[in-house]
Amino acid sequence: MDEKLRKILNELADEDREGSDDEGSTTSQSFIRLGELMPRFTAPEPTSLHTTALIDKLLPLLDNKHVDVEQGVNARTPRFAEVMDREGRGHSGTTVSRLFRLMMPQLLILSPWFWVGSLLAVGISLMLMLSPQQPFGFAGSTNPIVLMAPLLSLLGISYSCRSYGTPMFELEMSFPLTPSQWLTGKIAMILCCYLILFALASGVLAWNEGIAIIPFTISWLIPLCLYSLLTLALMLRFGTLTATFTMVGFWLMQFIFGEGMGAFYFLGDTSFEQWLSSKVVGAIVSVVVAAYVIFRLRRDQGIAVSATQTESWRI
Amino acid sequence: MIHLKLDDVTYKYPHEGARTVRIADLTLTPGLYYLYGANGSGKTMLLKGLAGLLTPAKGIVKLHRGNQALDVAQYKWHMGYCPQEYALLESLTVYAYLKYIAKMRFIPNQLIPSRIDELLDTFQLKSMARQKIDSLSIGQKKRILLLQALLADPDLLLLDEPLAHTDLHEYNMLSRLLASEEGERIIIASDHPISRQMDISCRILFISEGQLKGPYDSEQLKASLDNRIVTCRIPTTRWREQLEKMSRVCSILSLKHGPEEVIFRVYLHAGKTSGSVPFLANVEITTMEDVYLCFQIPSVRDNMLR
Repeated sequence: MDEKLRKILNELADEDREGSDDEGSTTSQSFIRLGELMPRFTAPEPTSLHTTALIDKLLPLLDNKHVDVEQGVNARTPRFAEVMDREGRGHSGTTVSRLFRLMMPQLLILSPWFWVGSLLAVGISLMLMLSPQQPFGFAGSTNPIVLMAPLLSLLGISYSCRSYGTPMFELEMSFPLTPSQWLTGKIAMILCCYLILFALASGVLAWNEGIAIIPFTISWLIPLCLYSLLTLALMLRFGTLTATFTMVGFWLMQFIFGEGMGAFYFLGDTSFEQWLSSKVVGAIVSVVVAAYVIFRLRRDQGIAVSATQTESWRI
Repeated sequence: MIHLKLDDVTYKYPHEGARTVRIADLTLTPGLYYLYGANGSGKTMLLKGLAGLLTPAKGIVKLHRGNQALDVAQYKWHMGYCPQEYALLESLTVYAYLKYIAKMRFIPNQLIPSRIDELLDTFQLKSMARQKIDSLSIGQKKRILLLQALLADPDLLLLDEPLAHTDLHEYNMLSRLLASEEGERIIIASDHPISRQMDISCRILFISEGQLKGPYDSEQLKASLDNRIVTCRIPTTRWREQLEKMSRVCSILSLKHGPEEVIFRVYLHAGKTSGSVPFLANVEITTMEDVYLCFQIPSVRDNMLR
């Protein structure tokens, strides 16, 4: 112990002993005596050297304490949310990878029977095309592949979006998704699947029958897009069930009246007289309907808050 | 520290006229909040609003994590919602449904199986993981809905009548589970404390006359009604003539018709004792049901909150 400090403490102890012996001592006297002694206890201000020395002595203690605190934190089981943050929640990446992440969950909600049915439908259409005799009497510009593409796409989209307008859709809207992202995920999986299937079928036909692949692809691609977009537009306006029945009805009407509908017969193949005009009309209607779907989705951002809003929910 | 701040917020349905819920100024810290209100008072509307399904007609909602206020996109990452209706894909198995939800919530693929297993275990649903949802009971479906809301371990958990249609075992299990989850997150659960007694100490939010009120401590509310809740039994032949006399000393909360007597559960007005009530009267232990019913009567509510 410092010699000066020891001396002061001894003097204070002596004072205490004297005070306790003297029964008649008063508080005011004690205060006067304390006041006299106070200047002696004043220590000189520390220099920067003293401060540095103190910091040097404290640092090792602080480091130990720091280690203890960290060990304490590590001992706590981390929350799952923290683990997710560490692993990355999977919302970053390129546009393609983000699209892929939106599409993949859809695989879980599409029944295996749906895929089997789709494959069978395309396979049977292809076999009918390859068959030397047309068993169902397909004639003129009626082509099984061109007929099947829009029908399958409208049914596929209706099936994939079956939660629209149900409590499940509300739940899905509480996820970190905008309505556009939700719809993109749903239809991208269906359209990708059918585009690949029908492109393969077209390839087989081109290879076997020697047909021109590009005009034939346009023949089924435009009705596929048109029917998909019309189904989406009707679904957003009237609900899934109404959209499905209306579009199946429209398809049946096209199938029954056929070439008699002129440029509004969208299911004809290249042998149809008004093939070009019908495909142009189909493409124009598709663009108009796509614009409506986009408008509708933007307007409905109020259903689920847009991810592009950055501050807070303020109107 | 997580907190949810609502600043002069008003919610209303886009295509409905006058019905609104207004929250003047509210800050919620982690804990369990039961949201009470009469049918049609706007509990679901408020929860849908907080879940991001409705944009506020007015005001600002912010979820803070530490000093950081989350933007809308981040808000949804940290929020879990359990709707009142059965938002399920019935043709899927329990496991496939939960996996779909986990993927839609962008939980990393490598974490999904263990997380689902852990929660299935907690909710006592492990044996049903491979069963189709449409084969489950209503109570089990409720558990799945609650489970999906917890999948991404949200900071803000919004539950719309999570305890409805559950049996007593499920009710107790889920109540305990909610109480155990409250330390780390803000849980807002709408409920009707009508049929069962709520023994858990929690905080209460009331919606009344289109306004959100609270939060109040459940124990304090119950304590404010100590010695005020009384039951009295009146013979069936005389109960109608006693009604006027009774209304001078108390407010009737509920009545039960028996074969020979009618049992009234009443709130004694200030300055009255159980002796003021005609016929035999017993002072009862206050339940949350009493608190809820008293809140519906403006004069009693004012006394209770004083």
